[in-house]
Amino acid sequence: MDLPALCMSVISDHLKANYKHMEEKIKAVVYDSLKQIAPETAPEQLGLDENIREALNIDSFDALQFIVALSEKLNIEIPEKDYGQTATMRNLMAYLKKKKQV
Amino acid sequence: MLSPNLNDYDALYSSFNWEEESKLLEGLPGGKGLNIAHEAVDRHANSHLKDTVAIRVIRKNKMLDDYTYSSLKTETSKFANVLSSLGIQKGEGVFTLLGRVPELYISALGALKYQAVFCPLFSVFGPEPVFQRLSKGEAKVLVTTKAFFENKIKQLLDRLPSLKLVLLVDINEDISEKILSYSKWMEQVSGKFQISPTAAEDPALLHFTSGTTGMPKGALHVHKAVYTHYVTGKYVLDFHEGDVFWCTADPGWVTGTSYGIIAPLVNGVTSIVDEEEFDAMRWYGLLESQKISVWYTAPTAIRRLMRVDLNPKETYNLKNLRLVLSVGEPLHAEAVVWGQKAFGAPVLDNWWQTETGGIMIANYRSLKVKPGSMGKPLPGVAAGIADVEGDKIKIISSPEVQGHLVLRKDLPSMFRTYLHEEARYQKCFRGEWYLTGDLAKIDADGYFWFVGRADDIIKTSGHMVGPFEVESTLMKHPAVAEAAVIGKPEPSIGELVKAFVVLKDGYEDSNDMKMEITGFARKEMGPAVAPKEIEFVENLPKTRSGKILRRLLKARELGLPEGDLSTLETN
Repeated sequence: MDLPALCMSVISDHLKANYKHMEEKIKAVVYDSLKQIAPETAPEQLGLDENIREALNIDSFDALQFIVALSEKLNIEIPEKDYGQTATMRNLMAYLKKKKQV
Repeated sequence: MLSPNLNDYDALYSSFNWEEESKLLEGLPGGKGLNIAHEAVDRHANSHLKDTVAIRVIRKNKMLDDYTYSSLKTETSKFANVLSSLGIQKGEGVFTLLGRVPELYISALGALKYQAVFCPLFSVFGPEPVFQRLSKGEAKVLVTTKAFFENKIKQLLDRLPSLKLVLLVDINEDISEKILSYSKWMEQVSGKFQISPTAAEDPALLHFTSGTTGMPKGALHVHKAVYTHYVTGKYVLDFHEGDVFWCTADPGWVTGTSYGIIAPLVNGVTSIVDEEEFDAMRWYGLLESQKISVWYTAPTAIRRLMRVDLNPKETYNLKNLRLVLSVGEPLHAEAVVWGQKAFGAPVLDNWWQTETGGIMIANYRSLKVKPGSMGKPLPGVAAGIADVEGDKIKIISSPEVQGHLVLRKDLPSMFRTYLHEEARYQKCFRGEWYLTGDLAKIDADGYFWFVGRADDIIKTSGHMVGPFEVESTLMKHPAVAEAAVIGKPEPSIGELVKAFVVLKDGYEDSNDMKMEITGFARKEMGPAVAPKEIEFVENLPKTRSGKILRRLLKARELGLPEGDLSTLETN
């Protein structure tokens, strides 16, 4: 491998690792926020396509607190309009990653 | 626009007569009495409305489950026949613990046909509130899902000797002689059922509500309540033939039964049910796609919609929407005015409670709306403000004076007792007057204004929570020595349940402990009842006789003057 290509590959690996790191960080914030609201549950065990509110027995007030906590901790704005995109771990993570430009 | 059914409030109020109005109901054929399910379903199934959609359930995935009046008649008849084949007796309790799925509506109306007493339980309740209600209500049959059964009911069976049968809506074969498959039993029976003679005063519906002291009480309503369902549907919800109505309340609460099941059907309109929970964009989408004409929702939802940065009238086609109504807690003036801008019609607030069975005080299309007021009494309802002192009651005649909101008790939908608690029931009355427990005042124009609760009951998201039941459950946690629970004002849900907890010696008031107790409370009671906030304190303020002074805790929480503390024990 020539030098520029090697550099590119190192940078790309580094970025990938960074993305990975960022994704893990977001996930940790999500789990922690859920745990604060529903401490008796195990959010880490949520299936990717499970409805978070139903699975963890979270009512609409709690759901609102959860979103507010996420937007504060991740420093992003999540308008009420977008709440429908946060129902499952898959959708929520995709949404947050897009917002954080990960 | 269609002209309102009630076009001259004063004229109708002075001429109104319940018996006259109820002549528009049919009664059981052959003069055999009055049955809610006949008025709601069978009557229309035998009329030109037979192919009209009675109930449309929008499933979570947005698939539609439609029941015409005719098919609803068949399904509810089947359910009545299932109860019969299972040996259930007239007057016995049929309970549901279900989300907003078709089986809930079929069970409710089928049970009424059979003259069982129907009681819906809120599916978000944890095992403890569910146990309290099944036990006090002496449930004989429970219709639920496999998951709810596994998570909430199974552990209670030993403590529920009266519970004879459990019907699970999502299994195909019976599990045991007691745990049965709903669908299997529904397939085996006939779709024809003749309603037996039903007296207007026969028990029909049981709704649990919270008290300040003691466990939840079961308010029992009779078939005659259908008068109120019909009249309020006609004059407050302003139902016209062809209307599509959406009541967003869950049948686990009285609004979701009186107006999410009965009133629209009695009035022969189409009732929309959404299985999913609140989501602003989904809701706007449904208002448009289902061409909703009359919409009955709650302040909590309206405040959430107000947060969405869009103009609904411009973004969605809401040309069918004629009327938006709200109940559950007082609707603030801003929300009423917002409705005018958002929907082209003010949001009409109204007031009633579990015990009254139907809307009692309301704003009407034809009456000038004073934003923030609950409106004026329904024609046929006498409401007043009173001074209540022990056994004595004095109706206050001058305007703008705060007092107890009271209603003349001779109303078709008024509860007839608290099940097995006659003394508690009697305590709600002074002579001809029913004490609602709310404080209010009347202005010079006769409009009623809500002031607050006269007791410690917490109103959260439009639901009543009794502090005593929450405190008792918290005390079951090994670390908790004492607990006092209040409603802390919160802008989006009215009040949130807040607990002050004194820990036993040897337990540390850490954040981990807070989470531990929160988790315990949620597991026992579910999120609708469990405290949203816990504060550890060294001790609780009490009277000399040892009664916890919740009002003082609340005053402190709000930074208000603490009032008369002469009975306070000094710590």
